[in-house]
Amino acid sequence: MPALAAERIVTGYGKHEVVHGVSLEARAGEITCVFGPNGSGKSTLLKAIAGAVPIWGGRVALGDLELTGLPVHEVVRRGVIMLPQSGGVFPRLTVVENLRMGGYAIPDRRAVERRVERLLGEFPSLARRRAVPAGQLSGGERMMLAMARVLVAEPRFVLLDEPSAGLAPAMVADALARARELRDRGIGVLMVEQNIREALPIADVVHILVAGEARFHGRPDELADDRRLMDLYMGVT
Amino acid sequence: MTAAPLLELVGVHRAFGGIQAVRGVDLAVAPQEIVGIIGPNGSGKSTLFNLISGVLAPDAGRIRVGGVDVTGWKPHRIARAGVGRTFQIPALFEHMTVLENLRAASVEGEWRTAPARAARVLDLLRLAAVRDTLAADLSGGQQKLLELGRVLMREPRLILLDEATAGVHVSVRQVILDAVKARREAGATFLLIEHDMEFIRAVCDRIAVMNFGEIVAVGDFEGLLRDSRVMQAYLGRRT
Amino acid sequence: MRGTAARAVLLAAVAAALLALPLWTSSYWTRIATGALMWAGLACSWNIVGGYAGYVNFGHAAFFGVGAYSTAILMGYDHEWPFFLTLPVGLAVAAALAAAIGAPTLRLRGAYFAIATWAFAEVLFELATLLDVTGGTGGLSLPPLLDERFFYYTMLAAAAGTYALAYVLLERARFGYRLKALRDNEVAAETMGIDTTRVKVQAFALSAALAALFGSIYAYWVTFIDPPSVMGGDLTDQMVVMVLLGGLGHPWGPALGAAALYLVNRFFWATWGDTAAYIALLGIAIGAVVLFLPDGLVSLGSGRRRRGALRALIGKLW
Repeated sequence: MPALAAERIVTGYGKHEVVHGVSLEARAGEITCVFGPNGSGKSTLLKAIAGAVPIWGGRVALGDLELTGLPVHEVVRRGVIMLPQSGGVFPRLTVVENLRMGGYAIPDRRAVERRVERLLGEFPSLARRRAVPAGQLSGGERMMLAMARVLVAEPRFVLLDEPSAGLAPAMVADALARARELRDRGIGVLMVEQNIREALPIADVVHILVAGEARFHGRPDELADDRRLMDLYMGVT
Repeated sequence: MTAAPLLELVGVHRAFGGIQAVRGVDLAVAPQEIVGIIGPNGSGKSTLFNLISGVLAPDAGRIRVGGVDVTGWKPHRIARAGVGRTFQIPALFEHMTVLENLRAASVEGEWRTAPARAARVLDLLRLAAVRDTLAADLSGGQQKLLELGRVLMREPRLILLDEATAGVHVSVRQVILDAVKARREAGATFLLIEHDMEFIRAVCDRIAVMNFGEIVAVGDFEGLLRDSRVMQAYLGRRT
Repeated sequence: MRGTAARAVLLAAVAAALLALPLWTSSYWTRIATGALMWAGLACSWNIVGGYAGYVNFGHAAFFGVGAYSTAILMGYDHEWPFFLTLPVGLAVAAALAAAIGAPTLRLRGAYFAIATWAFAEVLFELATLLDVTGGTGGLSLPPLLDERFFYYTMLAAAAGTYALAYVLLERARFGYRLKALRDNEVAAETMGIDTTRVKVQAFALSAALAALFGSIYAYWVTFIDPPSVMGGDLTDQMVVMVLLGGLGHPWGPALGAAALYLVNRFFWATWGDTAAYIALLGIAIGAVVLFLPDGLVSLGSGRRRRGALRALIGKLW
């Protein structure tokens, strides 16, 4: 199973370099987390890997497949899909229509239909609301729908951009549970997250980014101490 | 503090739609103090700067500069009261040269001495070589320096710097650091929003941590590093 | 220094040519030149707000009409004022009207100002057609004066004065810095102590007064005015295109655009006696400028710095 590899990525906005040569790897069936304080460039890094932000230096590859410089829809076709912060559902489309949109890049319409029906079978609460516009679903149902939509495309890797952002505390655990579910299906998860305390328990591999540079790479149990985390975040060596 | 504060925020609130961006902020800054404001994105730091500089008006609370209540004053009036600020994304006059940007900054002040003062600022910030370059053609670091230079032209007594060192090279950061210290010696008071912890540690007398629109802790760097509320702001909370 | 010496010589040559023009051309061309000077002056006045402040005025012809009607009314049989005394009245009324509509609308985003000026011009047009004092649709006549040279030199003095004043105020004085600052970044300008609303209103009042000046001279020159001839929207359109074509935000770009377009207009009129083709040309000209030459004809010269006034203006609309 090929790994999703980012090598010495340099990127930013306008004239502003935000990521200064960061490398990481995500593997299938694992949750790889990228943590760090605000302004650390972690979201920008994720977007660069997804193809949403231009890469100024370095490369992204899926095994032998070169992903550097490809636009987002081409990256999606090669099996790497990003779930953005803002929920990832189309509020005015119904549940079924949303799921079909997940198969947008797939030319075989009948295969898409089969996958849509199969996923509805796996998520009975969505099946019950199949004709309801997504905007009318509850927050939890919308998260479920976003994940199901991503699954229609049968991705190899899913990139999650701060899944707990803007969520009420009760929903945060659910949001992170989605990541576990994706991993349990054999998909590789690369997740950027603000709430390290909440997300650390589900991570298999941890990277910490501070001020655009990699400051830690290792296993979550190496970061048991919050004081060590603060030192890393605040740049205290 | 012994002297009367230069800046006082008392119970300042500001909401957008349903979201309370700044809630009940109290802060007093002494003359010639350098206070840092840190915290996660969305914690209300930039909104606070907009409130102090008059770009936004508070829903509740009072803002005083040098003892004068400036709550609700328009931005140009607050500027004339001696408050200067930079913007996170440099708000330069793109179609003017570096020198013209600096002169424009003096347009409501000492106009005749502007060329001489501009020359000193150009030296202080190592921008003399690009004085006739259009602001739009400067590098990212030079734009940050010009953004600072424009504020310095008016010699305000209170200077708000919004991520002045974001994304700049280490050498540029040093120039900015030296300029801030020099200005403080000359009488200016600073409020800095920063993510750059090294810069904060090098220059701030006190640091305030904001999270969800409130100031959750104020103190020195080492103390804040182990403060439980600060840790929660940065590391999140286990639910 | 060679550059400035060369420019000074050029300026002197142009000035000499303009001063002596009625002596070396026919009366037909003197009249053409008078018209071109008027449009040059009008374009300059629009450029003050459109080019330097970055706000679009879609009703500038209204101020031209204010000047025309002020002079026509005051020189008419009820009052019989001498011509030159009517000029300050037109200037003052135009400036006052501009301040009145500018004060509430210039503190908002550019789109509101654009719509407000357009609506204002429509209202004024309607008033001119309805009121007795303006002669309604029948218009007003002025005491005739068949002296081409008088009008040529008056128009020349007005245009030269306008460009000189604009140059000093906008390229040399603090006022110009204030305007250009608020055009490039209004919030930053505010935080530097610039009262942007006040500066915008001042610029608008100045631009209105100058337009009125040309309206006054025009009325006396053509002897008869009515709402379409001095307040029509097509007048504003032409001014705008002239400035865009010549160089938005440039001190003498508008003169270039005005001269070029006016001569083309006269050519069309002389050859085909019809202006429909000319209006089509205006449309194409605007499109071409925006796509290929946003800084106008003046930017074809030395390839100097981008003025960016057009982008600033479009950006300010929302």
